[in-house]
Amino acid sequence: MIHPFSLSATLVFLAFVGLTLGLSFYLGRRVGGSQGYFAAHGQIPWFVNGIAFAGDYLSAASFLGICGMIAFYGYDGFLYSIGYLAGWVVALFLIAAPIKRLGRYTFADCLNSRFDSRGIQFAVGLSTLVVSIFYLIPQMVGAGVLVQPLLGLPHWVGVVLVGSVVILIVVTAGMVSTTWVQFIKGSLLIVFSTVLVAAVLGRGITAQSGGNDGYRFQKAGPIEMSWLPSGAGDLPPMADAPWSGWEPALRIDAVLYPVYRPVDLVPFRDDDDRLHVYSVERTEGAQCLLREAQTLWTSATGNLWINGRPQGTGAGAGKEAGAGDGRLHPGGYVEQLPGGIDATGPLSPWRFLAVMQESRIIRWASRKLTHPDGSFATIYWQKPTAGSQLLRPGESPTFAGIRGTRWWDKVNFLSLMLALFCGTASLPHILIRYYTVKDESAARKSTIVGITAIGFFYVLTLFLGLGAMTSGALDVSDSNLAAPLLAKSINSWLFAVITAIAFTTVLGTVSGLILASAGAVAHDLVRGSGFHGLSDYETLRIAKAASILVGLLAMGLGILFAKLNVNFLVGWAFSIAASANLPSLLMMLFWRGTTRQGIIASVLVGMLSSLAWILLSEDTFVHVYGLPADQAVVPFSQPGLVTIPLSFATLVVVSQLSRRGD
Amino acid sequence: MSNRHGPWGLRFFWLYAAAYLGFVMWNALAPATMERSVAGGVSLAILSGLGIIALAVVLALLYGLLCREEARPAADRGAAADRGERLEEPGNS
Repeated sequence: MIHPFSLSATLVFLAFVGLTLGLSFYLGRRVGGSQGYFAAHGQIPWFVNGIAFAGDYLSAASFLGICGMIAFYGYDGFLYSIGYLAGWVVALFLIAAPIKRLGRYTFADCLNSRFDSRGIQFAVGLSTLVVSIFYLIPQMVGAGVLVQPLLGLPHWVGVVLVGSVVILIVVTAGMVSTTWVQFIKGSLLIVFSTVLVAAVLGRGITAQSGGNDGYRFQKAGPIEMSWLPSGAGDLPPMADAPWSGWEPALRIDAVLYPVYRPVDLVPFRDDDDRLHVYSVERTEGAQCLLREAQTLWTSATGNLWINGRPQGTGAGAGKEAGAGDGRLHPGGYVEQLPGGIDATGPLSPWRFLAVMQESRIIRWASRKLTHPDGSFATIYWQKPTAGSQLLRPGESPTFAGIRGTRWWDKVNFLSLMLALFCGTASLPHILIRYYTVKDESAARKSTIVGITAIGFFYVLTLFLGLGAMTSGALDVSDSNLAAPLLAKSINSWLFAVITAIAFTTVLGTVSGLILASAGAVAHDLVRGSGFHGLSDYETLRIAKAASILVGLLAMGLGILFAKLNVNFLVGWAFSIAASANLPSLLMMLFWRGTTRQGIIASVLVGMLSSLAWILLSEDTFVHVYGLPADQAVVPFSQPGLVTIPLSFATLVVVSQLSRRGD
Repeated sequence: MSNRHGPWGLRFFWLYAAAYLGFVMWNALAPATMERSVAGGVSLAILSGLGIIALAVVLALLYGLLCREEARPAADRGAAADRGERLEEPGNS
């Protein structure tokens, strides 16, 4: 979709970002050595730290990814919200107090508190770095996504913008400013998301036949299926075909027909030879409805054509736009409300969910097709779906398998939910936040504040996602844009504020992650490699150099993974964190038999096995390598169910063996 | 080594872990039953999901209250120690 430049939105956005940066630099002056840079002198009030937890955690994945997934697939996105929150239970009941008691700057300090081992420090430093980089990728992708509709800039510019600003923040500031900035952003995100949900409920739901750009998608039929045989050679004479009388009159493209027809799509040409695609929706008996689809065709010479016209620039409007104004129309609307009414008017939260359950909603599916001349087309088509279907598990491609008969698909789902449960309490940028408060009691209280704020926000994501699904403003080509575009459908100022908050939240989360990586390099990897006796000044210089390198790496990866749903990417980070860090942390706290060798082996086996599993999985083969799914090596994509127990087992076995050896 | 306020922390952890496991298994093994409308027309899937989120928040708040209750006698002992009275080590419970 083309997102035109908006001056008012940009001004609000720049004011927000400027304020954040100003605050960062102001507070950054108080850093004063490693203790201030990495742990804010342990003087952050527990309530502030709790909301900062929410600010850190409610990142691009939560706000953009979950809302987008709910907007496209319904309840399946909400399952991520539930899993992300469940992880905080592990953090509060098992981890919060001891990690504060045993550590100083990094998670490795805590694991190493009983052993004083260079091996532990190095292994944990390495796992912190890997997890942080994997978590940074979706944040960077999210940053690029936010800049597109606001400033009308390409995705990569957003990534570079965020990367540069964050490096500036981290190098000049540290944990004091990161915490306060996260506190402010966490508070604003929750307040304005509540405002947005109130606006969604106040607006209610309206039945529509197109998105809010005014374009109405064609729907034709019912027609006999005999007009659409399975092969191009069987096509009946077209002179009397139903579509020959449409405006514009269409004829079937016999060359493309064999490519499109097997996936229930029909390619047409108009008198100007423009491509029009319709989807086939089977109805009663031997009849069907044809629904207008949207096309994005990259010609063999590399030019992009959208809905049969050259790619546009944002000028003009809808169907009447001339050549050079090809654009995707927004989607996401309710086709039929319960009782056949046109609009509901304001709804209570409960009634909103009940109306969604009884409505028929137009979702958009997509598929990439290769034309006989070697060019590619991505087709987006309407999928009328009952609300009751959308508000049950298994509608998204990620979780569709749980409704099938393949056991591996169910195992894949269980594996992801286990990783989400175990991952939160193993994320380095969350764990280092425990060192910014003064004692165990403050660590516990701040976690309780965090859980309450995050739990409330995740309930809001359900309404934000479903609101976007029915807003008529969805970008059918990018699920990550659902929440900002929902705000835009209500009010351009609200859009500017929501986008600015989301953008600055990405800034803060990325700052926290880069800070965790810098701490891992300066404290753990350097000391774990045998360099001792570094001055405070030298440690800080190493940390800042590491921040720059990690920031640059994250920018590159953010551009590379631009098209993947950010939520999907975060699932990987959770799996690696849960496999590498949680087993050793829990066993160190709760099993006296844990040895230094056991911890090192557990961290390395957990990290490497989960990383290898991801790289050999179906999801990576399809989405990253572009290879067929059946070439994947492992039977399901999410590693947690195998690699978390493997990491526990490694720790127990190696600890027993090493104690015998001693 | 155990978590301070361990008994409550561990009990709440296992309680929530059991509820979460039940919820996830239900979604995985009987997804079709989740479609059913209950409680004012809202689907069972949404109702149970909201319930799991609410359980986490309620247990967290309850845990905070219990820890505060336990911290009070400790604070009293601290005050007694300040007055020079004999201090008993609370230990990890």
